[in-house]
Formats: sequence, C-alpha cells, structure tokens
Amino acid sequence: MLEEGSVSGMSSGASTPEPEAPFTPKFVVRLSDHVTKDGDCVKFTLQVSQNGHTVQVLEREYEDFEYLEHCVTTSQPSHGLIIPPMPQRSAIDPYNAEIQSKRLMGKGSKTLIPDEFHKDCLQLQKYLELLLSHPVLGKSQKLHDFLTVKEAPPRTKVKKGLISRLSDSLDARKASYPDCEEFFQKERDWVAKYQPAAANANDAFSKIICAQLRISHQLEQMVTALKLSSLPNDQVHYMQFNNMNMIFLDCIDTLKSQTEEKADKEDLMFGAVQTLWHRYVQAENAMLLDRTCLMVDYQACNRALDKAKPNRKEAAERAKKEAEQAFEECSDAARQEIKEFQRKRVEELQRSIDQYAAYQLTCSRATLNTLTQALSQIKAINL
Amino acid sequence: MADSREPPPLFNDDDDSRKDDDNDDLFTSAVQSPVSELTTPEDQTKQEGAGDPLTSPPPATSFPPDPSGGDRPDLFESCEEPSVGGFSSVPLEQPAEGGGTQQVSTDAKDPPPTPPTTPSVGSLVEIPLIVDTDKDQDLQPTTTSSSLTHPDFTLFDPLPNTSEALISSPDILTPPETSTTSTPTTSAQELSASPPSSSALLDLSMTLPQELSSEPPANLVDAPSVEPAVMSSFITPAEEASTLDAAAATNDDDDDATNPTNHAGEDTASSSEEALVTVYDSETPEEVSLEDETDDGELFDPASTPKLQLNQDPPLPASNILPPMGAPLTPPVAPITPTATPNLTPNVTPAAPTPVTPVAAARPSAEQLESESGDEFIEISISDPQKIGDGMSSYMAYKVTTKTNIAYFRKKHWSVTRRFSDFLGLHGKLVEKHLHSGRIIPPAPEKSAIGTTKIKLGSDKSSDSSSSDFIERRRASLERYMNRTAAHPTLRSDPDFREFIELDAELPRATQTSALSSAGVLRLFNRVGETVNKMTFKMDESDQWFEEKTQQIENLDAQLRKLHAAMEGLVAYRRELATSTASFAKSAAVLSSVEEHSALSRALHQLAESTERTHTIHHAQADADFYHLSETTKDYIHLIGAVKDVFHERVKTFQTWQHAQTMLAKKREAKAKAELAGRMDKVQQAQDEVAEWEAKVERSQEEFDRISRAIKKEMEQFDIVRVKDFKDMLVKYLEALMTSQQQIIKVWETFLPEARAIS
Repeated sequence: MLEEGSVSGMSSGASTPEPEAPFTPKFVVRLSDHVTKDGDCVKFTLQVSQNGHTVQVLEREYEDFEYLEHCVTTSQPSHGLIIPPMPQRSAIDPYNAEIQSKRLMGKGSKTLIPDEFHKDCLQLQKYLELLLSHPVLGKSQKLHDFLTVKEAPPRTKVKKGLISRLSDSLDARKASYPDCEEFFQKERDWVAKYQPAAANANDAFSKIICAQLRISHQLEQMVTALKLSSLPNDQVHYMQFNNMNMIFLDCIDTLKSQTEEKADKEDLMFGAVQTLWHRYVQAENAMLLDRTCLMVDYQACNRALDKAKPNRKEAAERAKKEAEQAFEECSDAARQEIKEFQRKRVEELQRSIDQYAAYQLTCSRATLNTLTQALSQIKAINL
Repeated sequence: MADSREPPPLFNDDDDSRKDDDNDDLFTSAVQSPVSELTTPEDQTKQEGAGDPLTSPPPATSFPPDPSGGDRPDLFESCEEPSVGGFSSVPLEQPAEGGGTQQVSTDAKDPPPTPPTTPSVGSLVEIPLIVDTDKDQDLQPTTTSSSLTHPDFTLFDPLPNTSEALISSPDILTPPETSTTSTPTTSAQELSASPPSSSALLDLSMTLPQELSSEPPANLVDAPSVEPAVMSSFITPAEEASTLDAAAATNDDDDDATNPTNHAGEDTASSSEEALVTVYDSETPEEVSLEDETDDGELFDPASTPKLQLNQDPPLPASNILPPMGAPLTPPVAPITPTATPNLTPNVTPAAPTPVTPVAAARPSAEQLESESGDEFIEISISDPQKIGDGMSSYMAYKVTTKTNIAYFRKKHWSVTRRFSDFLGLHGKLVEKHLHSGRIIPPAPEKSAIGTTKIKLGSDKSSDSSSSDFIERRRASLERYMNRTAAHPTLRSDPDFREFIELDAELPRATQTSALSSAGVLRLFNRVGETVNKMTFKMDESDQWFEEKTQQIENLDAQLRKLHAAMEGLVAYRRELATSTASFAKSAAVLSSVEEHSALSRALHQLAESTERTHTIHHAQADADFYHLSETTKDYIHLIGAVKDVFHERVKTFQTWQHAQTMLAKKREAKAKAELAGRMDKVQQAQDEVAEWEAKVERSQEEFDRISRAIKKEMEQFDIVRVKDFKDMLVKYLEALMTSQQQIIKVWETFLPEARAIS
C-alpha cells in the first residue's frame, strides 16, 4: 500500500512521465498441464516460483480466477488503469462443448472437440503474467495471496448486476464527448477505429483455423475410406495397388496430423495473441471511458462553481477540487498506462506475426518433406 | 451387330486370323495390305461383271498375285501406299462391311509400325502384286471410266452411318477420288519413274515425306528398268504433267477438291460436290446410296471430274502444251494426281511407312503389332468451350483435338467441334454396339439440367464464376471420358468413335440424349425395368471368379463412394480455407491501415500481402483436390457402374440360356409324349422344334461363354488400368500438393526478411 501511494504520488506530480525502471514481477507462475476435471469443476495446477525457486504449488479453479479479477479490480482505485482482460471460460460441459464444436466444424459435424485445457492453461498463465507485470496491479496483496496461500480464498459469486450494466450503458453515452486533451482524443479515435478492424481480423483468422480443422477432419475420413479399399493380395497389380494405397494413406494421415497441429499452433501463436490484445484494447477503451466520465464530472463541477451562489461557493469549490484531482490522477495514470500498453502491444503483436510466418515456413517444409517422400515411394513402384 | 462387333477383335485380338492369312500366302497378304484400301475401286473394276461392290470377294482372291509382274516398278507402290495410309476414310467404313473387308482394314492398321524397320525389300515384294493391277488397268484403259464411278459406290454404300458425315466435309469428298486414284496414281508415278524424267523423280522424292523419299526412289529406279517400254509408251506424254501435278497437289494438302478445281475443273468439280452434298443432305442412308449411283454415273462417267482436274492441274505448273497431248490417255492418270497427292501430304508421316511394311514384314508383323500397340498413343483434348445460340436452344460446343500415331487415323493431329449431346450420343452408340459383347464402356459425363439451364439463360458477358466452373468441370470430364474411351483398343477403332473424332462436320443430332425428351422417359422406364429385373432375378453363380468379382465390385463401389464423400468435403473446406484466407488478408490490410505504429503497420501490411498470395495457392490447391482426386474417384464410381452393367448383361445372357434350356426340356417332353401317343406327324414336328431349341441352347450357351470370357478379359484390363490410373492420380495429386507447399514456402521466405528488417 505504501508503495502504491508513492507510485500514485509520483504520477500525480503531473510531471512528464519519466521512464520508470522496468517493473519486475514478483512471481513467475506456470500452469502445468496437469488439469483435473471432476464434473464441472476443473482444477488447474499452478506452480509459483520466485527468483527461480518454486515457492508454492497450488490448485485453482476458474472461479477462483474470476474472484481474483474481481478483487484486483475493485480493491483499489483503478482509475486510469488498463486492466488485463480475463480469458474467457472455455466450454467444459457437453452442452456448451457441442455448441462450440458445431461452430468450429460446421453444423452437420458430429465430432465433439475434446477439452483443450492446454489452451486454457496458457491463457490463464498469460493473464497472471500480465497482472504480475502490471506496475500497479502487480503489487496487489490479493494477487500475492492468491499465489501463495495454499487454500483458495473463499469466494463469492461475482455477477454484474443489472444496475451496473445500466450505469455502464449510461456511461457509454458520454463516449462522444470531445476530449480536452489531444493525446487522449487521438487515443480514443484510434481505439474506435481499431476495435472493429481487430474484431474482423480475429473472426477471419478463426475461420482459417476452423477451415484447417475441418480439412484435417476430412483427411481423417479419407484415411478411413482408403484403409477400407485395399484389395486381396493375390495379384501383382493388386499388390501394387495396395502398396500405393498404403503409402498414400500414410501420407494423408501425416498430413492430417500436421494440419491439425498447425491449426492448433497457429491459433495459440497468432489467434490467441490477437484475441488477447483485442480484448486488451477493449479494456483500454473502458479505461478511457472511465476517464471521460471523470472529465465530464470535472467540467460539470467547474460550471457549477461558476454559477454557484456565494453561500454555496465553498462546497462547489471543494467538489471541483475533488473532481479535478480525480481527473488529473486518472489522466496521469492513464497516460502512463497507455504508453506502456502500446509498447507491449506492438512488441507482442510483432513477435506473433514473426513467429507465425516462421511457423508457416517450418510447417510447409515439413509437409513438403512428407510429400516428397511419399511421391518418391510411389514413383518407385513400377507398374 | 455381328459385323460391328467383329471388326474390333480382328484388329485387336485376332492377330491369329491375320497370321493365318499371311501364312497361306505371304504374297497375297502382302498384297492385300497395300491394295486393300485401294482395292475397293480396283477390285470392283475387275468384278464389274459381278456388279455388287459390297460382295466383292476378299482382296486376296480378287488379286491373284502375279509373279510375272514382280519385276514391275515399285513406283507404283510408292505412290499407292501413301495413298493407302492417307485413306483413313476407307478403313473407317470397312468395319461396317463385313468379314472380308475387315481383314483388309486390319492390315491397313498394321502397317504403321513396320515402316521404319522395313527395308526397301518389302517394297519390292509388294510391287509385283500392285503391278498386276497396273497391268490390268493398262490393258483396259477403256474401263477406267467405269472404274472411276465404282469407287464412289464402294465408298458410300457400305457406310450408311458416315454418309452424312461426308456431306459437308471436303476432306471426305476427296476419298472417293482417291480410290480411283490408285490406278491413275500408279501410272503417274510410272511416268515419273521412266528414265527420261529424272527431274520428275526428284520432284516426287522432294514432295514425298522423308521416309518415302528414301525408299521409293530406289524402287522407282527399278521399276523403269523392268518394263520401261510399256510404261513409257503409255505414260510419256503425260509424264511431266502428272509429276508436276503431284508436286502441285502436295502443296495443297487437303484442299485438293477446292484448289485443283479452281481453274477449269471448278464447274464440274463443284457441281459434283454439290450433287453429293445434296444427296447426303437427305439423311437417309439408303437413299443416298441409290442416288449416288445415279448421280455419280452421270457426273463421273461422262465428265468424270477427275479427268477435268487432271487436265487442269497440269496446266498450273506445267506447260499447257502437254495436257492436250496427254489428255486422251491421261483421263485415268490425271485423277490420280490430285487424289494421291493430297492423301500423301497430310498423312505422310503415319501413312507412308505403312504401305511398305506389310510386305516386308509379312511374318514379323504380328509381333510388331503387339509391340506397336504399346507405342500407340492417342491423346484427346477438349478445349474452347463456346456457347452457341441463345436462350434455351443454345448449347455449348467444344473443340475436340486429337493427337495420335495410330495408323488408321488420317492425320496425326487435328481437331473437330462437337457439342455435349454428341458425346452422349457417342456413348449411346458404343453401349448399344459393345455392351452385350461384354465390354466396359466408359460412361459419359452426366447431363446436368440445372447447370446447363443456368448457362443457357445466363448472358455471355455476365458469366459468373459458378457457371464457368461448371463449364470447366464438364470440359475436364469430357476430356477424361474421351481419353478413357480412346484407351480401349476396341472402342477406339469403332467406326462411330472414329467418325466422332475425325469427321470435320456436324454430327447428326443425337435425339436420345435429352433429359426431358420422350426418349428420356422411355429410358427411365427401361432402367426401372432393368433394376426390377436385377432385384428379382437371382442367378446362381456357377463361376467362382464372377462370384468373387461381383462381391469385390460391390465393395469397391461402397468404398469409392465413401472416399468420394470425404474428398468432396475436403474440396469444400479447402475452398473455405481459401476464402477465409482472403478475408483475413483483407482485414489484416485494414488493420495495418489503422495501426499507428509504423513498423507494426508495415508488418501487418506484409502479412496481408503474403496471406493474399497464399489465398491463391489454397485456391489452386482446392482445384487440384477437386480435379485430381475427387473427379477421378467420381469417374471410377461411374466406371464401376459400367462394370455392373456389363455383369448384368452377362446375367441376361444367362437368363436367355436358361430360358432356352427349359424350353428345350419342354419340347423334348412334348416329343416324348407324342412318341408315346404314337402320333408320328406330331413327332416329326416336335423333333424339329427340339432341334431348333437345341441349336438355340447351344447358341446362347456359346454366347454366355463368350461374354464371360470377354468380361474376364475386360476386367483384367480394367484392373490394370485402374491401378495405373490410381498411380497417376496419386503422383499428380502429390505433385500438386508439393507445388502449393513450395509456393507457400516461397511466400513466407520472402516475408520473413522483410518483416525482420522492419522490426
């Protein structure tokens, strides 16, 4: 808390944001692949280490993460902070899984995509990393408790009530207020433009992934069909046929697993990053909106002060000061946050594009290799 | 039916029969081959007395080899043979005629392989025989006119089917002339051969194809020495003219009809042509033949277009002086030049070798044939789909281009235009002719009322991608269909098939193909009847091979269908991948324009471009999936259907056999009863009936055995081809996959350094 004060004090100094010494996260968290599923209750195993030493190994459920998020965001003044987005809950129960499978594989598909906990693990891990590396949120006691106390903190159901949603929508109306500061105005414009573009890109990319999954599924079907079409080995050309069939079948089978793996990896490597930052931008938007609200309040107070009758002047003055302070603090924090956020965003997105391209290369090379082998084998068969 | 069925085997499997012939007398056989095509006219001249061209005895008999003539000039031959080869039209028609002629046609086909190998010796051997004909003709110059008329008969009569084809195509018109040519040609060549006209020889050699030029000259030289007196006396006046003609004629390949006629002969030639055309327009074959006789008689006998042409042709290059002199004699000679030359020139390569070989290779020809069949290739490509007409009456026409080295085709490379229903019609004809002899007829592409209607109604300009897809798909499937049919040795030598790919004119409309016609409904009924029959009649299989095979075919069918479904899905999702890649490329581009960080923006831009490129690759891959995998598999599903049809055909023959047997049993019973009753009058009748049914049983049993054998043979071939096709498919598909992967690699290889340079 003390540290927090100092941070806010520094930022409230309204001075130009000095490049702070890079904040080092206190813990490093790794979610191991060990996931236990018991009905609807999925437990992830967290391995928390500090300075290279494992300090704690604990089990947490998705609900615990939800509660953590709630606590982290509400336990302290969060004005001007961009809260890392919490990963969405993946379908666990058969019903939702079916819906999701149909979405991915096509309406007629009967295949049920199995639980992909490694994806959830990676996303949750990323979430914790973002939290821990956040200069303000990374110091939250609640977060530290979450990572160090063996037993998960007792949690209450967190649900956004109707009221809060209503107020959100009311707030949203203020989004069109012109900003007094050019920096924020520009940022707001950018977010407004960026969000739909990113959403489109995400959709398109997930469609690519879907198509690849479906292709791999069809390849699998082809493999089964090919397996059935072997002939009796009683004639020379039948044997040749069978040989070729086997080679082709193996080749298709390899292609199938390659395609599947490729889809999977691409999704993690590029799709997930895109999605994460898309949602992060949404969080930024929320923060900007929050700030705009403060600004509107402040402006209202100013006007009130101007019109205030002498006997109310003092109260108005106080209100104005409060509003001004809140707004200023928020603006300072936000400026800092946005810069940091943009830096990270660009860095990560660039890296993911790079990785994606490199992965395409390796994938294609591997596929080409398989194909070359199969082709030479088939060509070697003389009819 | 019997006729039509027979020819193919002759060509294909019945080497034996031909061998036998050869054995009987090498000479005759040798003679046959060269003469055979030519013979038609000549035979008839000899047989004129007999009068019936159709019944003309096999060439061998008609042409007793004349040893005395052996020394005679080869020139003759050299000229003749080319014409033979060129005479593709003749072989075409011959299958229809009957056994005797068919043999001839087979011979004609054999020659092609031999040419390269056969030395001049062969040519020498042949010559004598041909010489005989020469002699005959020389002796009876008067008859030439009559002989001229005959060839026409022979050509047209046998071919009721092709008659229509003849109508418009000038190429085909020429053949008749060619037939007459045989005699004249020889004379012309003899002329050239005669010592004085050495230059003429040179001309010939120049004009002739390379192969010919090498061999013939020698022969030419020989010939004159043998009988210079006779020939020279006969020929000399016309010599130069004829040789010149030859040269001139060679220049105008097929156009002989038009070109030569241009000058003086124009009137007559064109008139004759018109006459022919008109005759053929009335599409009834019988009429045609009748009219031919009369018309030809009028046209050719008195004026005989050939003569005119002769006279005229010479004038062009040669001195005008000569023609008048030769005129009286030339008439027979002259026709030769135009006809012979045209044939030679176009066909030269394939035809030229053929003539020589038969003689020389009398013995080895059989083996050569076999080895040759391995080298034979025919490749048909379909291109340039064109919409002809407007609205619902419009149709798509395709250009059918054939490349082949098979000798009985007139050329090596040519193309004709056909519409879709023509293909269906061809298939129908083939099925009608060959199905019951147990041959697997490759199925024609399905008619798609919806797709066609869409194209018909769509305007040319706004042809959307779906309809162009449809056309391309159909084009490709037609191409596969044609090649599959052409790959079958029996089917590709079928006259209808050859007419289909060779005849440069519109085919008669196939009326039976329209999906909505009454014929279509009738077909539907027939099919229903057949299926009912298939379901109700259970044949207890005596042949284990068939039992296993039937089971195997059923399994194969099911597997292929499954495979095809998977492939269809694959293609669909591959297309989806392509489109979503495209949309991602677009949104990435948008993102890059929105992005404020310049480096990231540029990286995104690169990404957009690269994905855009992969989009096209994916698209090509989807097409490859479709054309290499899916369509081939679909073809095989249909082929399996054809196989089932053949099997069913066998069941039907089995049924007739069974029926005949039960009938025989009944008749026997009746006979026994009659005998018991002691009614001798009835016994006699019953005896007759029993005999009748015994014969029927025997026949149907033979038929059944035959079809069973044929099917086994076909299936063997089918399996071999299937394995080969499968390999081809895999190789092509894997190669396509590899290309796309290589392209993708290239795309990202260019992307990476750029992206790294930016960041």
